Amino acid sequence: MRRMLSPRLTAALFSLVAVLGLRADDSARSPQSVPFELLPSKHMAVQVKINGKGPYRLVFDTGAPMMLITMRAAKDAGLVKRDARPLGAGLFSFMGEPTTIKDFEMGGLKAENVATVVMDHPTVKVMEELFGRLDGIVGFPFFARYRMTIDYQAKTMSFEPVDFKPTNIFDSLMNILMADPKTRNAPKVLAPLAQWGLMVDKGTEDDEPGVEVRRVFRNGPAAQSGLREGDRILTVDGRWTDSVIDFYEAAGHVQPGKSVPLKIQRGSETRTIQLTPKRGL
Amino acid sequence: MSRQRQVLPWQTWVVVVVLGSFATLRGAEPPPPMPRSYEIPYKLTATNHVMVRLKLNGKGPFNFIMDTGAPAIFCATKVARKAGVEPKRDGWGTFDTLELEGGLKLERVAARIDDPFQLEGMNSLGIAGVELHGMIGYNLLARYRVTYDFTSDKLVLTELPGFEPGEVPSFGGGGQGGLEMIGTMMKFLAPLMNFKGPPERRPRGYLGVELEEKEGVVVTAVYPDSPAEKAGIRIGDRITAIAGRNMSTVAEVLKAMARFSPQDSVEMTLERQGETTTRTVRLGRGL
Repeated sequence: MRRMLSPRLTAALFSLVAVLGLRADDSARSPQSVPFELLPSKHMAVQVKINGKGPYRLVFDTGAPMMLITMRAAKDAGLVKRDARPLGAGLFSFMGEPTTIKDFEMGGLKAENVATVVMDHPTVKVMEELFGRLDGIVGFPFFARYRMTIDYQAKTMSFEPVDFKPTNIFDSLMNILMADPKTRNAPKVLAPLAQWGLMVDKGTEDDEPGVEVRRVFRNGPAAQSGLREGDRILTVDGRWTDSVIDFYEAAGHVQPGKSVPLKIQRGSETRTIQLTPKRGL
Repeated sequence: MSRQRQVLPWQTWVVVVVLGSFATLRGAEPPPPMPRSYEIPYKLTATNHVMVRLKLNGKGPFNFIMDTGAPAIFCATKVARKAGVEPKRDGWGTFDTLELEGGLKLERVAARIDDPFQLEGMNSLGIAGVELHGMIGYNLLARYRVTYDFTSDKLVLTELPGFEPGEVPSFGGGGQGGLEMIGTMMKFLAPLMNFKGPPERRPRGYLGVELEEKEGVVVTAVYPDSPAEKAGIRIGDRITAIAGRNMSTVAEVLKAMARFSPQDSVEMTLERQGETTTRTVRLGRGL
């Protein structure tokens, strides 16, 4: 038994060594597990430290494009001055003040320069009345830096740094809101990244899934994959292609030289073929 | 509309109020012995929301946000109507099937049918870049171990066999401190400020060539009966400029062409056997 297992064990050790070798100089790259509390409302709450102060209790929200810290916690952590007052009042109290958290800690994770707003969100306030002290919301500017796994059964999240630089939501919003209406409302052209060698179409009355292949260019990647005119393409690399626009959206994810599965329907039969688009347009 | 109406949570402006009960989510097939994993395509909206697509009762696809800040699935009323589901008196409805892009299919899924102000506000301004139809919250999310990685273009959802997410209790009424006004306000203001919602999307125009990069951009194939062939582009031609702008890499060519639609005419400067020639191509449909 032991002998049977050993090759696998050796392989496992090797791959472990390989991983360690690659990342030996960056110990922070191993996944960090962080427990969370499930509030009665089924929201996740986590304990964090801000600039060494805390711990504070924040809602963890994948739907939040920004981080949010209450005025009380912001004062305590020195994000704003002790005598700071909310920016707006009444209906406009949702307006917050953008700032940056220099050191943000959650479990064993440390993140620097996390963009946030300081504001007393009415909903956080309502939740606080029901579930005890809450100091804000953890959102995209923090979690987008990691490969993140959420497990409600184990009540843990795990985080492993990735090279993703989140855009600042305030900048993006400002760009959109301040843009010349002509630019803002201009049609968006969807450009495929590669040459597929086909033309797809869909009739206006056609409600069935997929798009129809109308042309296959001779010698092109589609022709080489065995695709034929009249075939219906249902998915490209797992993405639905129920409209011509959908097909272009899907093609926007496929680099030249990458082989992707296409689920197609030919007559009454459904099958999967592989297609490798090339460089070109 | 009464003030009692439950405007529901999602995103930062989280939550609180859920009435009614959840029908149990059940897999479409008996659970396989090993937990199944699904690769779910997603898109990051211009507002940094994680958007996935789903079909309800076979209709759609519709655009939903992955939202741990929502205790349940929230579905816009017009979308539910398209799927043939009207909200019951308690604001809930049940879809016979819910299918996520990427192959995850569920039966008998309960959802809150409502128009959260955040979605209405974003849709009227079009700031997310796409129309959003709802949120996926706890009653679906908790059934899977979900991995988010923004350097990859898919999420990974892995089943948690034997795990029954608890029921979402009800908390009684209450608005969101006036926040629910925002949706109405945005809807009213958007047209005045010349916001027209998410922009129209169009396919790029088609040329019908394969390209390689060797001392510039060289045409290595021209498809029969393609716009390129009709314009007289030949194998071996070097593309040196597009619409008067010099080109030296394939990436530059793709970028320069990325703004043209089918039927647009584009002037291309080519180098053929040491001589420079110009061709005007009328782009076609295809990719």
